[in-house]
Amino acid sequence: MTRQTDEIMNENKSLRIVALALIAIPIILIAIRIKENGGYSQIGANYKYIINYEYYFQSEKDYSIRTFLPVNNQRQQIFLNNSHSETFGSVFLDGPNKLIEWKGAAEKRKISYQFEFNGKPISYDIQESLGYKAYFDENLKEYLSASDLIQSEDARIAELATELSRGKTTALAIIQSFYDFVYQMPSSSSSELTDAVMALDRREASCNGKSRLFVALCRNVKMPARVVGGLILEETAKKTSHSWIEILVNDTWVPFDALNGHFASLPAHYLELYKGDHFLIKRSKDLTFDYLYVIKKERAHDYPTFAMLNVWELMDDAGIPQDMFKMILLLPFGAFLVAIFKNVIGIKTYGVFLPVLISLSLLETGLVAGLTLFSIMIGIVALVNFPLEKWGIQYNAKITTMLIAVVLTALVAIQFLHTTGWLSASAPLFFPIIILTIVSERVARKIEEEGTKSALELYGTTLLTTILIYSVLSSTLIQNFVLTFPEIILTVAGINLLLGKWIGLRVMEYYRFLNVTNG
Amino acid sequence: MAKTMNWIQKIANIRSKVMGMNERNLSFIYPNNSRKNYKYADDKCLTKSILHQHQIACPTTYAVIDSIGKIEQAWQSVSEWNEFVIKPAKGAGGKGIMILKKKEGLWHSQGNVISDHEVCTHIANVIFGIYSFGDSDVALIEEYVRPHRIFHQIFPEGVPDIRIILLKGVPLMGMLRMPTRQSNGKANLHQGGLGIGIDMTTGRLKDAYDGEKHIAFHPDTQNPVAGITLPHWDEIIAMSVMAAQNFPLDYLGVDLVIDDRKGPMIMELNVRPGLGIQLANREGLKEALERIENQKTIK
Repeated sequence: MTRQTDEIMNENKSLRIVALALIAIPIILIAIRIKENGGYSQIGANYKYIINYEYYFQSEKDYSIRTFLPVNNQRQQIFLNNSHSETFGSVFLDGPNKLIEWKGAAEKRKISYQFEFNGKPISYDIQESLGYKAYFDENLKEYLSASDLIQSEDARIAELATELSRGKTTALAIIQSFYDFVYQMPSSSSSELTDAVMALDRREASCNGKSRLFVALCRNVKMPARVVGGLILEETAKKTSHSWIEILVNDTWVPFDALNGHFASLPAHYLELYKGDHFLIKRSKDLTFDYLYVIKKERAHDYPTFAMLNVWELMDDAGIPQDMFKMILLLPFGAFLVAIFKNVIGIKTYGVFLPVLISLSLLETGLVAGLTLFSIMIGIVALVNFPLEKWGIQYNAKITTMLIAVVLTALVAIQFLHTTGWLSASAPLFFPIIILTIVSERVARKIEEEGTKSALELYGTTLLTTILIYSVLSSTLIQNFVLTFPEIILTVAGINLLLGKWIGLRVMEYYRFLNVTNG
Repeated sequence: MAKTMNWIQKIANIRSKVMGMNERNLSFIYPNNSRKNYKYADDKCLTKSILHQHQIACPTTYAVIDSIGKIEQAWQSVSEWNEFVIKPAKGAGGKGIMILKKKEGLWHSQGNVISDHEVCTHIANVIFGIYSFGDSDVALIEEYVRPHRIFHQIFPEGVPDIRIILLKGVPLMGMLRMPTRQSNGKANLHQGGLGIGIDMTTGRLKDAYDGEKHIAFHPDTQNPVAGITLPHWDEIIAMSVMAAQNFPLDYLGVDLVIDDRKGPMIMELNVRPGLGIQLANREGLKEALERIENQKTIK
């Protein structure tokens, strides 16, 4: 072997080592991060909340303080942070609810109880065809009958319920009618105890009053309903709790918040503490008492330990929108996909990065609408090329004129979209103006040099590549993965290096060269 | 079952014989042509000066225009000629080439009368680099090659050229590129021209490939193509080898034309010669390329 081939061998060896290191190291790092952060749960950091009940009190004699503790359900997951949270408190269950009670003799004390909340939004589709059904189930009696504060049998409530449900035959229509009535009532900030009838009389109520009225209306028409209590979570320290309701629809308890406008849905930051018409805190009478809910908002599922760069945290701290991080982190993936399409499959496109850039724009505009808009703009601007070419306009002047045509087209498109509402009016602005100009010019030149057919063919393969890249990049799993574990782009670099040394035939070449061996 | 076997056979056959784009780039172009030497092929002025040094025939240069300010003066000086070609020195794929002929005192291009002003604009575009990937360029005005009469018999329009692919000075495959009515006087395969394989020892033409199928006749004139022997074949091969030996580019496509009076001339060199030549010849390049590449290593 000559010296030269030795060198080539060494080059290949060092390349392979670098490539394999680039591929493996991030994967190992990610594995360590997952392990050190309590194992894999989910990716895509959403917010978690750390809630602290803080009670300050002074008592001259025996006392008891009782409150609700959250339980896990479909919407919320609760983690206890520190074991001494429950110090001196005894925990017990009461129906669907979990309570904690602190008891003691004369003393001055501060109690704090801390837990972590992880929630997700929920929303239900109530089928329009679902008929109204009156329940007379003995098991549901609790949710069908009147109580002191929910006077569902009161004449005024009955009158209103009859009026609101008149002529309505489906569960959805009746609920919607009740909801609209309660939702449209002005809200009051009064902390006075408001029952259902009072709320109706005053045509004004806080969350509690609205919830009781809504439940009373439902119960009046024999739809099982109940009040639900909890906290709306935000980064703050507060005293206000919140209440909303649940209605049993087709054997499922469906949430409604007629104060904040959540119909058959709840957002992620609603902490549910109890079911039923209760008070959050119940305590002995002669107690000097104060309380506060201290809530901290933090990222969850961002695997912070051993993160060289925590993008989620950076996003929050630096106030940078998620979309911007998403764009730069998805760019390498898109470019890598183009490399595969070109070098492994053999699909040709206008420009190497063009399909990636269009795909990223499409994440904002939506696939079909975005591509249609893009193609129309390219088509219009490409037409401008022909008179310019005919007049023999010098290149620099020509491309500037086409750039102006792009800007004008974008402005007209914005005006058009604004008028028709067909698509967000800002959609044309997501396409990089320079890219539109260059592609238009290249399409036009291709038409001139090789005919409309091959220009359109190349445009077709460009769009095909774009759609395939879009379908990968639009996956929230992939987006969340790169935002959580940005080190993965080094792995992409490693695979890309190996791809750069791959000498196999491209898939399309088998087709292209079929005739070589046919003879 | 038999059909599947047939397909597997076909794919295996293509794999073992055909040179693909990836392997061409990685195993032949990169190791054999150092990037700093691309300029000897990409810049036609540089190519010609080296060809001149070694007395290898190429079309006579009438003028080289390297700045917009010199256009008018140069245009005056070449006006004495009755026909010539304007081309960008760094152009590729036949882009930006303008053939001018004087008839009754007026300049014609592609059959249409063209004004002095239009010609000067074209030259300015060339210099500005619109045909050369945006880099500024130089416009080359050179003699018009009158294709050998043998080509006239097949198809009377445009200038056919011959592409020879060489590795380390060994000619491996050749192809004649012939214009068609569809290709508008241009000989490039992807613009609708014909690719005609050549028997390397005799210079005899094989069937023509029109991008879809092989045919024995020119599609526009129905004149036979296959079986015609190219004139000056030995000279063409000798010139290609000489060029390959005198340029620091070991994997090379040499493009030649045959002038009716002056014989073969080298038009340009190509460091990234296309792979369509395999289709024109119905023969893969892989085995031949690998054989030559390996010979050198053992030595």
